[in-house]
Amino acid sequence: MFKVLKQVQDYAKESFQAAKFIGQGLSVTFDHMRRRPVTVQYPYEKLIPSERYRGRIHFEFDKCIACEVCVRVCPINLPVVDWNFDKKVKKKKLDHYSIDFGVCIFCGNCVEYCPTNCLSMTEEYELASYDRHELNYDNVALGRLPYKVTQDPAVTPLREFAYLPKGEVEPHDLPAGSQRPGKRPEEILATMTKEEETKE
Amino acid sequence: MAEETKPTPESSNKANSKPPAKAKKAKPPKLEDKPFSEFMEKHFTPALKEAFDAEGIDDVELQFMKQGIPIKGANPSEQCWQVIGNWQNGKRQFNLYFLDENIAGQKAFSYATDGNQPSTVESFMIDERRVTLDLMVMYTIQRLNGQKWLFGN
Repeated sequence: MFKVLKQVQDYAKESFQAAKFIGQGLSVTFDHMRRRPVTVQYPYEKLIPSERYRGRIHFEFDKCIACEVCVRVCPINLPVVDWNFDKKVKKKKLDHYSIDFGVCIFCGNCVEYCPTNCLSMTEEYELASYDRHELNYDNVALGRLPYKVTQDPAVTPLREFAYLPKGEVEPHDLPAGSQRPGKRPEEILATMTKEEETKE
Repeated sequence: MAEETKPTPESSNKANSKPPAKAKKAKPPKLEDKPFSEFMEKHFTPALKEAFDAEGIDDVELQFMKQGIPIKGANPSEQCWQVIGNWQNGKRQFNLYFLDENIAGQKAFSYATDGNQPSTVESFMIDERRVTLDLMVMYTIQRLNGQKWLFGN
């Protein structure tokens, strides 16, 4: 008699737990039920890429020493470094440099390993062209100042979800000066230096 | 790889061994030690012009003068020495700025076409510790060649 009751009790308990765990697992999904879809009216409104966004690569001609490290670390040896050894000054003379963005996978290895920091990532991501050969950027094109969403007067820049204030899901019509949750890097740095000072 | 790695030790050795040898012979001081304006006028600009001739550009006009930086946002009262070169009747123009009145100091580069105002300033020889006449000429020619102004692709 008691054994049957115990079984019923266990069954009820387990089914309650199962429901609880499923609910926990789907909490993020259920969280989306109270969010409205946020539509970005693309050519007029654009999302601001995050800090570590890997967009078009910028190249500074003056800093390049033609060491070809970017070529070695590239998964497909993509950058083309065209240099000649100038015997008069015993120096490599860089003639041309180019990266084909039709083939580049934007892994960022070249930027990471460039010893003189002459390569850098930009926030520019609109590289579409009608001809794929136009995606082969030479050093003049690589050296142009990158397009920035925040600097375009024709575009309303919108923040991505992670950069909205706490509890906010809609990037439109945010009050001026609103910040994302958590401390900003400079605030963390300020508290860290303060702590070090107090230790000393 | 062997080709790439070989020249560097040689060049550094020679660079190290040259100055003492010169000092022993008590030769006149190095070109680069001359006063700034003398070096620029009597050595750098002629050498640059020669380099242009070697590249096949014979209508280049080089000026060395103290001027404000012709870029939007720069203070026009802050003047600095610059080498202004143009050819094809000013269709192609470049400026080399010597911000510290010293060839080893900060240098900058800008270019413009068709007599327009240059839009950006770039660093010039920013990672180069050794500053010699030949290197300065080489870097100038290299930069202009990078702009595809001397040859096509």
